Amino acid sequence: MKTPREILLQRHSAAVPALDAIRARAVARIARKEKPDPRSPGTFIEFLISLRWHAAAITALLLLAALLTGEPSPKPRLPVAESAGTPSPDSCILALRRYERELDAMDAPPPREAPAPIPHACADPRREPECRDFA
Amino acid sequence: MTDAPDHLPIQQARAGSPEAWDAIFRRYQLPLYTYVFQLIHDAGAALDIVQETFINAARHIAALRDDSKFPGWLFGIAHQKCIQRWRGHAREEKFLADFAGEPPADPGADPAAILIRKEQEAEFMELLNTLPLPQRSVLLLHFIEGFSIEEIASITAAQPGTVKSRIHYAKKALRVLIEANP
Repeated sequence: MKTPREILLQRHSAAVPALDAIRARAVARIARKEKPDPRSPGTFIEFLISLRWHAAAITALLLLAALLTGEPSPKPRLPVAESAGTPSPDSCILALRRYERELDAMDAPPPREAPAPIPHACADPRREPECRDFA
Repeated sequence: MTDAPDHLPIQQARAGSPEAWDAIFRRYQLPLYTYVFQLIHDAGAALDIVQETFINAARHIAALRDDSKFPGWLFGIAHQKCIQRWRGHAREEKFLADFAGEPPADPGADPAAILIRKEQEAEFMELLNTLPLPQRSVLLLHFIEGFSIEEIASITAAQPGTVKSRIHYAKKALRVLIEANP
């Protein structure tokens, strides 16, 4: 005589090896979770650092795509040069020299007016009449 | 928390001890498989459900508040997996049929009180398989682990009165079988 439980379990006892294998897999999975995986990133910063090469590669690809698909940008022009016209180098040098001469002329001391030569006769009181005639 | 049944190392399992889980799985692997197989009659699928039950139990053990309810909680996971499988096969209506209106009856306290002779074993299994799924489910839980009405109601998400009624009619059919083959 057996209980219903004994009959039921005995009927399925052939599945025990397969159940043992399932149990071993489940326990191994639990054991893996218990031990921290050294390869797993510990912090968010470490996670970001681990992605640096991916980010560099994506950036390089985006730059390459922008270079290949985009139009070349026009050369920047100086508005002053565009409006006034660019003088030739020779004219610049000539203008500089002219300005230099003008500056030199401005810096030079003004020429003194020479006092009128006093006749020697005026210096001599005895020759006063000659001096008066001269004045 | 109350003590774990059969001195199972539930506390150690909560802490993630692989040895504790190994002991628990070893204790329940065959009863779980028997229960699931007798409901779905597919060996491969039953093994899959047992494995998923183990994984889910280890993952969600923190949700279990009372250690004494661990066996019912574990069978509840397996039961839900069976329902998900039935839903996948569009057979839920048959399984989830409402048995309301049946008079509640006393199913008898001890599932081991029924003793079956060796020559009746085949008829017992045949009878078990001919029972409607709701009756079969509660009778298996009653026989395999000796769960109480309340525990079976919790596992199968049914009303205790409904569970009592199902067990009563299943046992009545079983007694008819035993008395018909003395």
